[in-house]
Amino acid sequence: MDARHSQESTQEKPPDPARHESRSVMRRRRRFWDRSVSIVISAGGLGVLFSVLLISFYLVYEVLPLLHRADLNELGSFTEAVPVPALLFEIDDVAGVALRIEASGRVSFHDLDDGRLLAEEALQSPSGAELTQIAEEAAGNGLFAAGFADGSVLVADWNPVALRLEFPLGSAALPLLDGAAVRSLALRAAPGSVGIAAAGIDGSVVLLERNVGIGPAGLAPAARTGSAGMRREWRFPGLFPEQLLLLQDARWMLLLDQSQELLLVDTRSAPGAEIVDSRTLTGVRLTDLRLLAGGMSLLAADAAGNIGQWLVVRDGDSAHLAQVRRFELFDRPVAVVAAQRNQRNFAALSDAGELVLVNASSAAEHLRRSGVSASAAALAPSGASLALQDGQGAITIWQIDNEFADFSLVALWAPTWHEGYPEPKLIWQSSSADDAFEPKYSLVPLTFGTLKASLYAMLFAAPLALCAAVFTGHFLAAGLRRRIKPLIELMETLPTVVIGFVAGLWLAPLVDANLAAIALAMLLLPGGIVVASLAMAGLPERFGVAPAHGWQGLALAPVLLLSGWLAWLFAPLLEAWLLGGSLRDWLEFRWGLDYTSRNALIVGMAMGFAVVPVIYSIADDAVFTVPRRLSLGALALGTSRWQAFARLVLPVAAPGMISALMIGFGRALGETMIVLMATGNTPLIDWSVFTGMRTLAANLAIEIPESEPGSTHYRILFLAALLLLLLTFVLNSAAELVRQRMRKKYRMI
Amino acid sequence: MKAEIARWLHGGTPWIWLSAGAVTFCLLVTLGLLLLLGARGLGHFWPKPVLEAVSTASAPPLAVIGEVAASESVAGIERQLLKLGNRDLLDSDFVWVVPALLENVDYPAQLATVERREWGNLYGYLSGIVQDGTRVAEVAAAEDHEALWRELGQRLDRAAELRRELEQIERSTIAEINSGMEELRLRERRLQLGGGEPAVELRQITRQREAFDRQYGEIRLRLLGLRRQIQRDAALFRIADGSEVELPVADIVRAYRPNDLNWLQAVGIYVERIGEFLSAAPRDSNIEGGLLPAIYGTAMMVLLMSVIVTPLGVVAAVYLSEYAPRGWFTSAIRVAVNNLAGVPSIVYGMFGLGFFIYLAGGEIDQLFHQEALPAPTFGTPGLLWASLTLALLTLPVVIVATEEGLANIPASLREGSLALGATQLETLWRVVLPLARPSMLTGLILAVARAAGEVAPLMLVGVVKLAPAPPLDSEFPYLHLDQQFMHLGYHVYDLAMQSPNVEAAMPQAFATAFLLVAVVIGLNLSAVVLRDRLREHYRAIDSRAWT
Repeated sequence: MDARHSQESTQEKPPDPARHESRSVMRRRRRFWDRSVSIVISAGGLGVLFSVLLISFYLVYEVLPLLHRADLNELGSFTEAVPVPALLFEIDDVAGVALRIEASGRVSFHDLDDGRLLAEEALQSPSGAELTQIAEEAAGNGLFAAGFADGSVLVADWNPVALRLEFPLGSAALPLLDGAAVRSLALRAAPGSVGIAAAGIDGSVVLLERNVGIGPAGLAPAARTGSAGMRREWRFPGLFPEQLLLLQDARWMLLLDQSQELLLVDTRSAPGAEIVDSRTLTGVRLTDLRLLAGGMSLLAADAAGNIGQWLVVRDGDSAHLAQVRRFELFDRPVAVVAAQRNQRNFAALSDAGELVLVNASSAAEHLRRSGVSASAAALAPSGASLALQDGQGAITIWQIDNEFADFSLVALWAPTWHEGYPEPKLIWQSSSADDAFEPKYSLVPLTFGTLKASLYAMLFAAPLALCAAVFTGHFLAAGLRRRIKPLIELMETLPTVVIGFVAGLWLAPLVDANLAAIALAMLLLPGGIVVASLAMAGLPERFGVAPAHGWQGLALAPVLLLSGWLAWLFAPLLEAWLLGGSLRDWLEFRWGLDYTSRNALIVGMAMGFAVVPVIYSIADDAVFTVPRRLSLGALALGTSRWQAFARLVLPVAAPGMISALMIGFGRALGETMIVLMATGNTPLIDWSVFTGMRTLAANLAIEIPESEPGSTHYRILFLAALLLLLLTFVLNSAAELVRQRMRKKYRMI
Repeated sequence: MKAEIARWLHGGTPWIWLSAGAVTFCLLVTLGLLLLLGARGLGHFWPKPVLEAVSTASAPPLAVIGEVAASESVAGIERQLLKLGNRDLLDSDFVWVVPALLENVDYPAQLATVERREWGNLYGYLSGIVQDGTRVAEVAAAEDHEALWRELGQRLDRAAELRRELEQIERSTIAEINSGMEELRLRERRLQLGGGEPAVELRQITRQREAFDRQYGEIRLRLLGLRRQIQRDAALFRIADGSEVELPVADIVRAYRPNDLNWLQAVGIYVERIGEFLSAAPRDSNIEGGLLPAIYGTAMMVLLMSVIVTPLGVVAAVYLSEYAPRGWFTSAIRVAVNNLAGVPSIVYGMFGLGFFIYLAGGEIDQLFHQEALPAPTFGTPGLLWASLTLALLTLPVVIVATEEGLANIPASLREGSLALGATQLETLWRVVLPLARPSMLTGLILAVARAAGEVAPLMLVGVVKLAPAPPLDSEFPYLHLDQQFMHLGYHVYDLAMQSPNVEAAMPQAFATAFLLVAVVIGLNLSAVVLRDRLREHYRAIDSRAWT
């Protein structure tokens, strides 16, 4: 301050006002630039840093909609002129059309917005018989069957654009029952075949199956020329089926008897052995039976306000009905159930006017609303609209905002009973070509795979990296350390795609063919080193006192190569002698271990190799920065070098080494390419070292390019990414904390 | 002796040895990996001898011609993988044989390796040359071989000349017409979107389109003529089963007699093949040919990324080191930046896909490229988004390296500058930044090395297995930020995991992997050297300041 003052005063001696002014202008300009640049840099710097933090915010932003509660809004309502109950009530919210079929056979199409009658026609059997029963198909193709008083059945399809009914199997009715009026009816269209089951008032049950092509838009034209098909008829004495259902590809037929007995019939079995399971539901009356989308599971609503979801579970040759879930929805009887046609959602209403929306596969109740009365309900195929008709003929249209109905936090982590499985399982199976497919989103197999891969990698990397760090950080001469350390750190720069490539296509077949040699090498390599050191200790003093502290430590290379070569040489002999064959066969036959070529062993070695330098670099710093005074003092008191290290240096450096392990573990968790290329990417839950896995990261790389933006699957993948981010963030932060503590401790020492 | 061993054990010497062994093991494995990549990657280009033998393993003994591609011993039995080539003629182009079951093994001097544009190699004897369907030359006596090969060489040169001409036309003229037509289509669409009746302009467009059509017709005729000319010659080869196959000369990339090569000729072919590897486009579903588009794509992406990441990283580092107030907030940011370096790269890829491509790209398309919708322009993976994603990924690297450099600059220099009356900006600009320049460069090199080797995020944001056109060409606007590109790392993944013929793709995969590793390690080594030199430099300045 003083200096500048004096300088200014000396310069001001010859008074030059112009120059003085220009100097002050310059000073002002300099100050201006200084200020403005400092503002720009601060703003820019903070901006950059925050935009980096944007990543986590963005992931959360993509995930949050999943947690959004379902919402219901009334769109409008209209009243039918004559309130007549409908046998069939369906809506299509893409075309904006509702379809009603009354018992009189009147078919009417209404505008969804204002209820206007758009078209009407009459549904009659060609012979003029009266309509008695209608059954919808459960998959989303708009098919239904109409049964008539003369025992004939028509299969129809409604076209919401042309506003008329179409008859894919021909407009001639199929004479199913011989003259007896159709009392109950079921229709099931599986890929390649159509099954129609009808029960007459005389108690006879008939199933007609036809092989037809079914395209995405319903029955293909070929259906018209299909053969007469296969017809089977049963009579179950004393049984009067009130309701019929066909499950799966019409293999299973379900009958509900007047006496509330539920019978499962195997339609492909030999005569006399058809009834494979029967349940008498005592105490409670069933009010509705309905299939969920896909035609695999059955919803049974009862008068006590519960809905049970039932599956046909096969155990070997036999099969039985199993209740997989039970939804306790109301205190009052369930009045109406409407199932969505292409997702496993359904709406249920109690007779007291309470409405719930439920997703069956995740067992999640999405919405509950009271004060809604209805005698019929229809859920649009998209699941976005619901139409309710009450006893007075008033139809109300509701808009449902429940885009992510098939997501549930519980199903993400807990075992879930999926269709086609005999018990609850943890499964990740996100997509399939089939529309009726039930997506299975359990993150457990993926998280398990991630942990398995990382743990095996750590098993390989931790001892290597820590030992190496101890050696270079403590025992190696400092000058040599400066050369060796960058060499090991060079491993870190190897692109992981190259490591994955070598592991998957070179190492995997090699280990495959030489498993015993690899196992033997794991014993012989350390063994060889110990033997070599013993031999050197036995050498005269001038060769062998403390040979490991300089470059001599690296003279082990021949020893290692020799041990590896010995393992290679003797493994086949040892195998033949001890196990009488190859190690792989022995493991497979003696212990029943599955062996896949790209397995956890390969991943452990390859990913271990990739994280060694990460762990090593930090652990070496931790060991090296421990003040030398500690060990030097101990050495002066007569301990051996190892004792000085193990008793004094190691305890001080341990936190740093642990933090190194944490960071290495974090790196292994998120590694993508190695796992992608060195495993089979099958989502298994199995600790075996000889099987593969699918990790969260690899799953992202495989599935996100094919996922539809904004869908449940897409957002669940973002949830997986968020999970990865959080896992690594927690690990890295904890490691950082440990390291900071350690630095403080050093300062105290 | 016993006591000695007890002392030896108790003193912990074995542990020291074991830890030394760990270091040696790591170094050996790294060295081994590099050697493996080098040997397999570089060895691929060396012309290998081709053997002819009779395999007695099958019921009627079978004549085979091929290269030994690999050998291994299974349960004590030696076996060899023979590359038979002739993929279009045989059921499988690789076969495992047991050397003991091969009879009459011979390496005939006249046996030829023919590298083809499609279907990989062909092995056989050159037996004649056909021009316009008639035989013009064949082998009658021993000295005829040389004459025949000379003849083939001349015809190969002629075909290569014609091919160059063809490619020239296809690449420049046709591409120009295509892009002109596309431009017209977009202009028309824009006019339609704008509404109104701009009849004059529409007429103009129609006229231009007609002109293009005429031009295209003329060029097509010329192309047809050239194609007919190039198909004139064919070479006849007698293959292992004794039959003769006709191979159009235009389909031959290179033909030589590997068993007859002297050392110099072999080196010549080796160099030529490496040159092709570095400077030609891939062919035969990436299994053969070169890597130029992948090298080019990687370089473009890395370059663009550097342009983005350097200013951002330096500004952030300067802020953190020079301007940020010291306190919990700044250290929290520092921890966050350090943490970001540990975030899995695939997470960055997810961010790039969701935020850049679907959100930002979709928005850009809505605003500026409406006429091209529904085909997305920027709302799809591409060069720009890949560079941005990788810039974000490597930002922590640049920030950390630059900050380290800034922190290492002796405080005496900064204080000296301030004491002489310089403002903070002047100190920064004239003193600090020039000194920190090498550390910025180090950061940038590390970032480039990381980006060049990163594959997982790129798979989501812009990389493809075969790019139709390079992202930089002579078409306006020259740099096509929306185009997808090829990448060396992804090329390795694609060859190894998605190739229909893995055996045949392995050599190319190894060569690509070796190139990638060489580039990445080279970059890293230069960064290490730079950093070391820098540290010495600072130490020198610091000691000078104190004395």
